[in-house]
Amino acid sequence: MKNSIRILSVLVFPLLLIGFSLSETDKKVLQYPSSWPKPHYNFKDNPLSNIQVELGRKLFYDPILSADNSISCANCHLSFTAFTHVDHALSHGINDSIGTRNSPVLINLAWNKHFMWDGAINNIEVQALAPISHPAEMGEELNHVIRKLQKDNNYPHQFYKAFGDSLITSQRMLKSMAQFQLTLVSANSKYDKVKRGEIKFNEQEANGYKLFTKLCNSCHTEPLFTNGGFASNGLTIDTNLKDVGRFKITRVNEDSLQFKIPTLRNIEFSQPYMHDGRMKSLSEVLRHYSSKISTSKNPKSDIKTNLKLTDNDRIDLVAFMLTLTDKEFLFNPNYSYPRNIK
Amino acid sequence: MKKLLFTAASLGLILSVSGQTNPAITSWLQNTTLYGSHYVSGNSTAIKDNVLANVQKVQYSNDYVYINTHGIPAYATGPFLDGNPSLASDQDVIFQIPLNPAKNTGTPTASTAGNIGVFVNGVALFDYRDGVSYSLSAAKDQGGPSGGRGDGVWNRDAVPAEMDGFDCSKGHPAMGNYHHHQNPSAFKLDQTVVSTICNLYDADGLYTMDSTKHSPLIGFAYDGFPIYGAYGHANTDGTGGITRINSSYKLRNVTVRTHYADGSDVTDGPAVNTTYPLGHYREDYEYKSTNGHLDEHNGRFCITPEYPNGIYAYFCTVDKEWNSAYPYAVGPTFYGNWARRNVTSISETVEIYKSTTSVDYQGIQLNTNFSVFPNPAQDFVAVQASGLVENNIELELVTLKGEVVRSSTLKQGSTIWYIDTKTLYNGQYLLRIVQGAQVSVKKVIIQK
Repeated sequence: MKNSIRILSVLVFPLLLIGFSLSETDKKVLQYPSSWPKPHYNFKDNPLSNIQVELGRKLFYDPILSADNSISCANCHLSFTAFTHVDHALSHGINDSIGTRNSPVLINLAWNKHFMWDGAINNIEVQALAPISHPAEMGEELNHVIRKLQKDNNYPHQFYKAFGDSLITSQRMLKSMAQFQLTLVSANSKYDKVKRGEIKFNEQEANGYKLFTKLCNSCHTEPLFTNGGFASNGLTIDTNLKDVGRFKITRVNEDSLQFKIPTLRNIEFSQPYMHDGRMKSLSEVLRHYSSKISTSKNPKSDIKTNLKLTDNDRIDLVAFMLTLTDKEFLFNPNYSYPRNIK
Repeated sequence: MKKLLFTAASLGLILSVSGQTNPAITSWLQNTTLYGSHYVSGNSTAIKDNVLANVQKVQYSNDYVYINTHGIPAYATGPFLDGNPSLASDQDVIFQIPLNPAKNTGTPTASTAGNIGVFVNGVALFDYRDGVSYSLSAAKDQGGPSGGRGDGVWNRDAVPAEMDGFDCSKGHPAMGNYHHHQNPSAFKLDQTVVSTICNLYDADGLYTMDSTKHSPLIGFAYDGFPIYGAYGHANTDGTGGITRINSSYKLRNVTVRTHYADGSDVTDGPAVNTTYPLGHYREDYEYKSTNGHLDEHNGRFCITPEYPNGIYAYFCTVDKEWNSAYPYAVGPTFYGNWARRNVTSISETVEIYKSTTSVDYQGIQLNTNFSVFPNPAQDFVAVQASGLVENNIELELVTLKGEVVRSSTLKQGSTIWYIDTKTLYNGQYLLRIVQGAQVSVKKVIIQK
């Protein structure tokens, strides 16, 4: 066995000297429906490669990123629930600390212009720095993460495979993690199949879709089910959390209580809902939009009046939203815990 | 309704005349139509298998009952998230259980590795052990799935140690042989839920615990004596109401592991610490008859619903949170005469016991209680049968106009059914519960 490894490395080494000609064979192209807009992310600067995606996946699932090696990205972003946590409203970090926001889903991130609920970050390649360094999340220092990875038994080899030498830098780590997350594309829900003409909505779903295009589509725009912008959806401020949303970043008055408009894809699996996870079910969410909008309590609300949905309309809208569930995405073995990566 | 019960009761009477009243013959969940299913990690939808669930055939002679089973339960098995590569697989076995079990008057036989009993669904019962014990020379646990060989002096208790590998119904396979080490109720129904496995890989276990009723008979030990769940009569004569039947084993008050509870000096185990907490080894427990209801074999002679004249019976012990409590079911020694009970063929004249009539009788006795919750409901309604479901139960949710909007089968040997009501309109619905000729109807309100 040892001999064969030696022979292999003798064969591989000259190839590596040719530089990136080797990685050409490993190139990966992001797959998405032809009817979709082009991704916002510039893949030319960080071309996907299978081996870097796998390295990013390993890092995504590795608690080594946190100060006490106890939690990984996947602790709050579970693949089976559209990459969010579902059993509590606010994210939990190291030392039993509790954050101030509900972890967002990680879906179709290549189309995202802004990251975080308040849009504090505009490039996925640096997004991971926020949770790694946040004291109520991973509470770790980037340099220390890099040192831990350098000392690890596996990572130097992984980086060697991915980048041609075993040098571990923060840029390489972040780029790999970005690559893995960019591959999280959900485009095969019932809705997508209906759009492709393969199947049809039932009566309830069709009515829900009609209501959706009339009432919801301007913010949760098809096909990504978000327009990528920010809005205040009429929620009142939580008096404990006092989260003012995008205002915290821009200090522009109009941005007070504005939060990023999340995608609705796989919404069936990503409860609780809203930036602070205050709503547990879709019917609760729709009750909010249909009867609880109050411009006196939240004058900044972008939704000025109640949608006045009938009970049956609300339920038909839920039926439509359930068609955005993409089980192929949720249970994609390429996204789950990397059991087989050595 | 009353009439039906009366008819059923007289039917039971007729059967008893024909001599088939021994619970060791009549208690098995017989099935020739229902198949098992299993989860794989990463997929919350169970995959159907082509192996029949529960027990396929019951035959008996004067001395023994013979159970043909594949060893697969009706509830979905797996996944086993501790790296156990095994799946619950077809055992195709015949168990030979003595019909007239007797007390072992000699030295009690210690329970062994592997099967030590059979549940009424044909699934194996194991004792506490997982083949791992402490090795003083290696200064760590060895043996079993972890490889090597321990000293066999400080034997690891599988129930806490392999928690991560149990499925929602508290079972896992050993080389394909699916088994329970403990009370086979689902984790999610415990008072304090100690495993998250049911969140993604839902299953419901063999029976549900009910603190107000005597537990159903859920299996037989290899010495032929019956095994009950966690609740029984407070007093052995059947009086005193229903109570949780407690094990008489308690954790010892020790910080080092140099002696057994009886004082004998043994090869040292590790000191008690976070890696080897008290309860990590079964030798961390000591027996004192005043601690609980049961003797050192985890059983007692008592009156039970199936044995009005009394029987020696084992109980699956749990603590007040309904989490499994040592020694879990049978053991560490048998009360009766132990023998290996899996045979490859039957070498005496036997009669076939057909369950249908008798099970209907018991079904009416046991299964009339259902809880339907929450009601009014929003996104789902759960229907929970109390006790043991002996025959498939058909469930239908119908509108007041009679349109069936949801339907399913509550399977024999399972206990709970969920109805997804997310897309049902608000209003009144009727839940029809059909058991053979018996239909009961409950009103369900959906309000969201």
